Amino acid sequence: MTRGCLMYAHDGDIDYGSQAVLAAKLAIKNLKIPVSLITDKNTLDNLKSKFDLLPFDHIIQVERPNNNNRRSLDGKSVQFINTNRASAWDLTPYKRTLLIDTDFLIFSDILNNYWNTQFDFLITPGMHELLENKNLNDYQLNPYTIDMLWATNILFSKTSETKILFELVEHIRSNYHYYAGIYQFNPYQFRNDHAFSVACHIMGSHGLEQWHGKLPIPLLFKDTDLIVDVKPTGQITFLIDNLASCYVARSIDQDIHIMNKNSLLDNLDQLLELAND
Amino acid sequence: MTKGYLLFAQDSNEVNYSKLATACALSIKLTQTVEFNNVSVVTNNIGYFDADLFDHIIPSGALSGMDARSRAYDLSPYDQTVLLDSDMLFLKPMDYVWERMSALDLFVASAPQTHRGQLFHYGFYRKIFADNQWPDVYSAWTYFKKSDTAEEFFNTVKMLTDHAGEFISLGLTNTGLETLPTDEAFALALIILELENQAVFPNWGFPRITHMKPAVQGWKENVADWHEKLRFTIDSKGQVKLGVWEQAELLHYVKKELITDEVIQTLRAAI
Repeated sequence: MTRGCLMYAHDGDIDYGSQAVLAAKLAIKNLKIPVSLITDKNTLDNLKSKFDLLPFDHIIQVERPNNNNRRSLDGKSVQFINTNRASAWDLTPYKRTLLIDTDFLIFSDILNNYWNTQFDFLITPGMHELLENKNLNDYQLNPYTIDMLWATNILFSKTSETKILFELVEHIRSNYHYYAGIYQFNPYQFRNDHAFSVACHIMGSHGLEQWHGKLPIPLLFKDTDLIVDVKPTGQITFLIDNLASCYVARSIDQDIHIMNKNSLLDNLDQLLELAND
Repeated sequence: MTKGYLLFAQDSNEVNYSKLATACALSIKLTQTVEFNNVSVVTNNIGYFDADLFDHIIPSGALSGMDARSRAYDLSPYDQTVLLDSDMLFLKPMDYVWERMSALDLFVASAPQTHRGQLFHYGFYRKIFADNQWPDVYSAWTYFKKSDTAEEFFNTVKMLTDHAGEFISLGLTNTGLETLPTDEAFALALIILELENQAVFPNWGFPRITHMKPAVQGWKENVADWHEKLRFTIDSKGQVKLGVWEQAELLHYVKKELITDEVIQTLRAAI
């Protein structure tokens, strides 16, 4: 069975293409798997202008999705384009695919333990945060409906059931306000985490069974956390909760989800060094 | 050997238990196979009940509430009985539970779960159980066979409830109890008769009872009435959802007002 990693990158205010190069090189190094990229012409042109050699097994060019999702980063409103994730089932070149966000950096081989599980679809059920003041909106769609799954990383096989799941995600995206009403979450912006959470709940007979498997929970660095040092040994130092009390945290040899894209890109060269053999 | 479910419906000014018992009986007829769908009711409102739905409509006479339930052994028309709370709905076949219970003289359920299917133990309302390490039993599903063991058990429950005040003053003064509710009386009777290991099997994990008291649902906020947060829906096939959660296990809905004439009509139509 062919297996590989897949990611999406559409440049907007953020250079998602460069993030994808970093995330791909780390996946190749630490999981020893090929990586494919789904992107648009503009992002691909940007990538080719910045990198002599791209690390991707396949580059799948698609139309750039038209959406106006925005999030706040460093006090600015930035665009992010994330509405075509449901196409992964159709577009993946692999029979079993690890689908990751480009800000999910793989520094371990722990995900290799999940290629041969009984589940055709696995997803991350949460994130480890370093501080206790969690925003509950990141962990449940609503206290009285369902817990949130993180679409940051997903592992799936191409089966008829997972096809239904991805079609369901697209259906939820197309009828987002309806599902936001049923599951009582804020419909202001489309969020893949919400769409996949609802889809998994429905696939599990509305909660009667757990249809999906669970991937390991990675460490989360939030958009207020700053990377302050990257050592060649792989040790990454963060300033945690930069906007309030400050703490220092270090991470080494573990998979991390870095939500502060600006900080990630500011340290891109040093992080790319860690992806070299 | 005859088998069946036994319900109590002691109507009061506040609660129409007969309506709840009717809904429960309809859900049994809807979901259980013929061998396991007999239902009888003990009631103070015999005119309410539909003889087509119940094998036996048994007048409770002067008995009320707990007094009546503690007489379940004497009042049951069956050789093997499952005594139920009336505020419950059956949502799937329970044959497999009968098969396991039939080898026993007495069985009291001990696998409560939230509406999300999460098992819990010694829930919020059971401090007295946890403090005293009483068996965490739910009398809402109590199986008994006509047998010396079951008779002795119900006689002990009767003794405890008939003399609840004396019993509490003897050894339970620090519990705040003024009467002995059914679950507490059942737990104590099991301890007194040393029947816990013969009648309580938490490791079975079934029958699961979805217990809808709000404080055991795992919510962070104090919720007085779960129905404010979870919409109760029943479809034309009698399938129930609480909010976005499909239900399949025994639903102990607690909130009596849920059972409207419309719900009864839906269940009748589904049958």
